[in-house]
Amino acid sequence: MYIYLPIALTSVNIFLIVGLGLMVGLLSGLFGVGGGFLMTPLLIMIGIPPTVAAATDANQIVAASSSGVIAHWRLGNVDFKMGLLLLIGGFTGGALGVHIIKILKAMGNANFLIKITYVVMLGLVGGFMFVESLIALRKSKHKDNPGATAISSGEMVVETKKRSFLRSLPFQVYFEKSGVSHSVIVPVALGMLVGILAAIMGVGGGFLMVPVMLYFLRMPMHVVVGTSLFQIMFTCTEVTFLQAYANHTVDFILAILLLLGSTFGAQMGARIGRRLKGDQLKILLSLIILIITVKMLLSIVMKPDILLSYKGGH
Amino acid sequence: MMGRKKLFLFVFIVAILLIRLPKAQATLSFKVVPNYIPIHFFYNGKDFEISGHTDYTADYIIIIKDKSEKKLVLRRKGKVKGLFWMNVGEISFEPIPIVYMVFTDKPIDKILNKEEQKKYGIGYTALFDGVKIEGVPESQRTKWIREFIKFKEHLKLYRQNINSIKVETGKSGSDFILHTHWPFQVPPDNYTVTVYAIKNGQIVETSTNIIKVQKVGLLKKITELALKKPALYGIIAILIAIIAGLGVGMIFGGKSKH
Repeated sequence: MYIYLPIALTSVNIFLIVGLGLMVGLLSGLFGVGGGFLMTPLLIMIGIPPTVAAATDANQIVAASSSGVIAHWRLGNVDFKMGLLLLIGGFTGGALGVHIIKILKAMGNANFLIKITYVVMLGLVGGFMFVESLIALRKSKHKDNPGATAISSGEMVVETKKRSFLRSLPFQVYFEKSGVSHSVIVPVALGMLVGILAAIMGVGGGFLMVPVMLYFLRMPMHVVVGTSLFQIMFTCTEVTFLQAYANHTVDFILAILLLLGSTFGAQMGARIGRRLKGDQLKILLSLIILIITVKMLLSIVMKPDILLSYKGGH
Repeated sequence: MMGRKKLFLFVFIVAILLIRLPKAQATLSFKVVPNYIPIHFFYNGKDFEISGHTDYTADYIIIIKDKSEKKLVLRRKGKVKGLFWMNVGEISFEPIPIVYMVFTDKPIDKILNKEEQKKYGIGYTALFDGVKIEGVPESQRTKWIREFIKFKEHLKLYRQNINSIKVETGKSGSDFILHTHWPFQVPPDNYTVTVYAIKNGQIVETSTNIIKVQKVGLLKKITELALKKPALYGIIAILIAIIAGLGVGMIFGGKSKH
């Protein structure tokens, strides 16, 4: 059964689009990522113009993330205080990132730098998360053997130095939901950093924000997922409006089909996530990120079938 | 004296009229069914038929293209640092049709001489003869024309279907018919259908018609809203997404920890 999309100017199979939404929504609810890094290339692959794919994806993420936020809020997994601070940083960083892109383009070879940044960031984040979660899982298996869980003295010194530096910063606040104390400067600065990278790479930044919250802010995995979705919901609302207003590239018929699947997927993801341990979730997310990294690396190393494309998109 | 002048004037006008008249009376006639293709929500392209007749035996070429031949700027991929394939710049083609479809009853080179192909822009080779390509060295022209055709054929906007027209010849001349599919990828616009009747390698007659492809109903209204009131359209898109997300969240329910 086919439906014609008014802005994408193409006809698509309804079940295929709803299915894509369901799959990406599931990842969204499970890991707290928007899924733009996965959905946009898939939409382009089935014939949606790149500019419409990127803008409409942001629109459907608004639905999937609001569905996910509700699910995680009910489970007590959203740290609104932390989310707002990260959001302030993210918005500022996004604006800065857009200017950095302009400078890079003026210098030439911006596309090369963007793609390489993408692959390196994905590889580093995925690799680090994978190794870290694997070690954590092994440690939990060897709980009965104290010798196996011993942390080296070097690791202890670095960790202590980092913590004492973070505690020395002004405006310390306690985040009840996450059970951590931080200076407000830390989430705002980290949010800004992710915002800059996300703008350069042309993605929402969920897959970067999740590790930042986990490893820098030391938030528990389940709260990270809910809080990340809360932040993504606002970021994508802004992107949807700007894309619709400035570029006329949001196809809300396509977005409705995607969100039919993604909203349910997000709910299912949140429920499945509840049954998994934090480290199991982390290892699954890191595997997905590593698969995307390999796919991306192959796509830039192997000669494409078609050497021309329309302007726009990621 | 006046009478002779009038006679000369009369002979002159008659001679001019005779020169301007076609060598033979136009007999090429054809129809496109349907010649109006409405795009609605469940549109997935459309089967259509072009059929016609000439009073003499002929071969036929049908060309469908958009009226406006503009400049098209595309992204061009290339190898960077000897290893990575990525966008390395832009390439432009001007003037070039967005849509270009050629249907014939025999291979083009067998029925039409090169001069005529070039004169009427028939076939890929002739089409690109007058096209200016910018953004790549002249030495790579052939390579990028090939890539452009590959790109457009992949999008179903260009096609060259040889031997697709069926011709039946009888005492009263010949009939031709083409059954084909209008791809959904072709954007809404008015497209010109030109039929060329060919004899002895020369075009002896041409005739044109129009296919109108247009969005209708709610689909048209949504497009108009997106283009004419983008702020409202953006807000509606966001509200639908939030309501749907929250709605599904409520339906699923579950125990609250608050």
